[in-house]
Parts: sequence; C-alpha cells; structure tokens
Amino acid sequence: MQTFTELNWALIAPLIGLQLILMIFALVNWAKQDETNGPKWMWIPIIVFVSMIGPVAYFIFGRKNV
Amino acid sequence: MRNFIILFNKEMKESLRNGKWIWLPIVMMVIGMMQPITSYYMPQILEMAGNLPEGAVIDIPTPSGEEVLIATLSQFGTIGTLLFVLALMNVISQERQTGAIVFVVVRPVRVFQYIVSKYVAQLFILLVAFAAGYLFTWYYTNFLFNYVPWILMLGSLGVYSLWIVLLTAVTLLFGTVLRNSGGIAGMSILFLAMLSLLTTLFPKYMEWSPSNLSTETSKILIEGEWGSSTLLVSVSTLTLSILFLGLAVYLFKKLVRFGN
Repeated sequence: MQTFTELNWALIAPLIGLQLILMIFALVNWAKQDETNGPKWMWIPIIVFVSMIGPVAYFIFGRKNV
Repeated sequence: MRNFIILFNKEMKESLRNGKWIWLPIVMMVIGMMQPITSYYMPQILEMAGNLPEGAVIDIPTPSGEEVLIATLSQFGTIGTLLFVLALMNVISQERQTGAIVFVVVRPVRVFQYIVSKYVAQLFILLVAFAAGYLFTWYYTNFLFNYVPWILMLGSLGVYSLWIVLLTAVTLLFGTVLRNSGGIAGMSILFLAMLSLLTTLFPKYMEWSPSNLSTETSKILIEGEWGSSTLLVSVSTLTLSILFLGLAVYLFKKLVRFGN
C-alpha cells in the first residue's frame, strides 16, 4: 500500500471534486423533479454510487421531459 | 436576425434548466483529466492491479506530452461522441412530442431560423465542453509530462472541433427525420461509425473523410505542421455539415406535420 500514500493528492483532488459537484448537482436536480422516468427513488443509488456514469445517466435518461 | 437571437436565448435557457450546461463540461473535464493522470500512474496501477510474478520488471516508456494529448483526443472521439449524440438526441424530438414545436412555428419564424438557431446553440455548448476538457488535459500534460506549445494545442483543438461540427449536423438531421430519441441516437452513431469503418477499409477513396480528422490532429501535434490533407479534410467536413444542415431544413419542411 506504499504507493497509495505516495499518490500526489493535489493531482487527484480536482478529479474527485468535479465528480462530487456533478453528483450534488444531479441530486439537487433530482429533488426538484416531480416525476422521473422509472421510480423516483431508484435514481438515488444510481446517482450516488455509480461514479460519473450515474449522474450522466440520470440527466440523459432519468429526467422526464415535460 | 431577431428571431434567431430569441430562439438562441431560449435554447440556452433550456440547456441551463435541464442541466446540459453543467454536466457536459464537467464530464468532459473529468475525461480530460483522467487520461494524463492514468498515463502518469500507469506503472503503479499495473503494479497494484496485476498478479505479476515476483521480480517482474515493467518498463513502460514515458509517453511524451503530445502522445498524451493524442490519446485524450481519441478518448473524446469515442466516449465524447457517444455522450454528445446522447445529449443532442432530444433537441427536436422532445419539442415534437410535447407539442411545444407548434407554439414556435405558428409565429413568424422560418424553419431555417428554427433549425439553425438550434444548431448554433447546441454546437456552442458542445464546443465549450470540449474546449474545457481539452484545456484541462493540456494543463495536466504540461504539469506531468512535457510542455506542449500552446499553438499546437490550439491547432489540434480547432481541427478536432470540426468533428463536433459534423456530429451536431448529423444528429440534428436524424432528429428531424426520426421521432424516437433512441432511434435518433442509434442512427447517428451508426452513421458516424460507418464513416470511420469505410475510412479504414478504403483509405484511398476516403481521403476526404471527416474520420481522418483524428489522424490530422495527431499529425499537427507530432510534426507540428499543417498538410494539404488537413485543409482537404477540414473543407470536406465543413461542406458536409452545411449540406446535412440544409437537408435537415428541407426535410423538416416536408416531413414534420404539426399537431401530432
């Protein structure tokens, strides 16, 4: 595990930060929707646990276009 | 012109509201950052992931900054193309399904203005997302590998943007012909994939093919110069895009029945 601590966190932090922003933005957008494609609760685990692809999938397929 | 600006603003507002303005740039930035970082840490990643026998020596040559940029562009060419097509598939079909299109067309708006405003607005978003991602890649590459002159970066950015210009036109064209958004995305990707396939199969007859844009960008990055082939491919890509856009306007007039 030595290499793990050697990682330069200043490099990785923006990557994690951007993904967090994306996730939070998707969650806020999700909370504002009355209805989504598929059951509404189903999208929470997708947005939270599937990194990057989850929020994107929500924006592309989850939003009901009204 | 006034109509165009109003429709353009409407398109911008809609993209803000459905989140496209946020998620597209963020995803492109993440993809753009990922490539230099994974190339940089490749030896460590292999060491941690692989069940290598004790004492195995991994000797991966460090790629040059230019090679990292090329690898990133090829990522954008696959994942980016898929994302862009998915982001664009609903642009017209959604307004047809909800009937909102009727409200636009009963006003004195010409079809040309309607389609072109959509085209320009969506293209603007995609190009901003692409440029943001690519700039991040460039920054990280300069930091982790070697400095790539900004003029080469800008040149490759400009030439590769033409692929997005074409992609948007193709997706809008299918968007006017088809009704189902899955079909629109599928047909657009099929079309672009066929173009690449034909280009690899018949390189002699397909010198003008827009799929050659990626080879042209690598040429710019590695050799640092424009060839006459760059000009040929750029001009043919632009011509094809305008052609597809014109076809979209024509077919929209013919095919789209209002009210259903």
